Amino acid sequence: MNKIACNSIMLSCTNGIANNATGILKRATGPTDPYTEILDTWKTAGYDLTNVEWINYYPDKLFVDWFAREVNATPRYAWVSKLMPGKTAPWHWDVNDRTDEWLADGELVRWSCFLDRRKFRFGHVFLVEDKCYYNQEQGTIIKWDNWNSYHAKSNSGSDPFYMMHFLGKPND
Amino acid sequence: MINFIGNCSNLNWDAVIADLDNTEPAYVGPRHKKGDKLDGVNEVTKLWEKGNYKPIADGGTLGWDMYFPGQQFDELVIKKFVDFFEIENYHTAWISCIHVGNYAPVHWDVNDKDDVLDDCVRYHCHIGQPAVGHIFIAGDEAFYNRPQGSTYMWSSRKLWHAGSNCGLQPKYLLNLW
Repeated sequence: MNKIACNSIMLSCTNGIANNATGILKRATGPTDPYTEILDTWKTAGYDLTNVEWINYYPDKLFVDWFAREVNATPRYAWVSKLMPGKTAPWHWDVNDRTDEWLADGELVRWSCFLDRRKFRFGHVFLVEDKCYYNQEQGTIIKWDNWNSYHAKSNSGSDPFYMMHFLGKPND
Repeated sequence: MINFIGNCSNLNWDAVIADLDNTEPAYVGPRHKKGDKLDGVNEVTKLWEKGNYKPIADGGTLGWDMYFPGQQFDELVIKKFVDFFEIENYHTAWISCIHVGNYAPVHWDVNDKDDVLDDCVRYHCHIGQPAVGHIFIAGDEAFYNRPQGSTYMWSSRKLWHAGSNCGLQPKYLLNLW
């Protein structure tokens, strides 16, 4: 994705929704619910859940369509995540209540794009399974092996860490 | 510049870590704070202030455990390490531990005697087994999933670096310069 698009997407991120343990707990429906399992894993590991937080933004259709053209896919769900320094998105997979519906309609693929400009990205690390992404060029898009892979994010720098994520159905 | 120099396999790192898991650290870093009259401290704390980091004791995530040879763990560990890599002399050595969700944010290791100490090479060794979420950054490089015992030499002890743990168990690292 080109740098102008990346910068425009970040500038558009003004009204975010915090993802934190409280929010995840609200979505859990029972002890075997995946939300509960993820939270239990974090609690067992010893996380101070008050510091587990990332902010999600839902970009305008213009940007979602922009991304969809880049990866040649039909959008299912797209969002920008912002991780502030010192906060953590611990090891987890993204539970979404609509995945069964999307999977019934075809393949589901996930892509992620690194939005940060070079001078702001010290400490911005994104992990997917055994892969570690660091110091990625602004606009780099990665295609995940599996849409529901385990992943995590950390920010040991001094600036917010922005990424755009996209779940879609490949057009070809 | 950072170079891989080998895998220190003459030590039972799992046993070292098992002991540390049951040992109180010497202290929880950082030891320096904004305003300390020491070159370098303010350039580090300025970045931490910009990132709004708060110490663990104040409900934040800034903090790491510090363990020293001859105090919290056996000096023989360091002797075997330097023998293995034929390191002739060193100034200081320690093992650090970052617990889940915590950070050693962007910094370089400011020393109390920096005004009289020369720069020198530094070493770090991944003493834990590879584990999800254990991240160490030095310079432009992120170290992840490195085999246990993997050791790297830095061209300068003053390189900017950081550690974080978004995994599920404590992360240990041996450091020496």
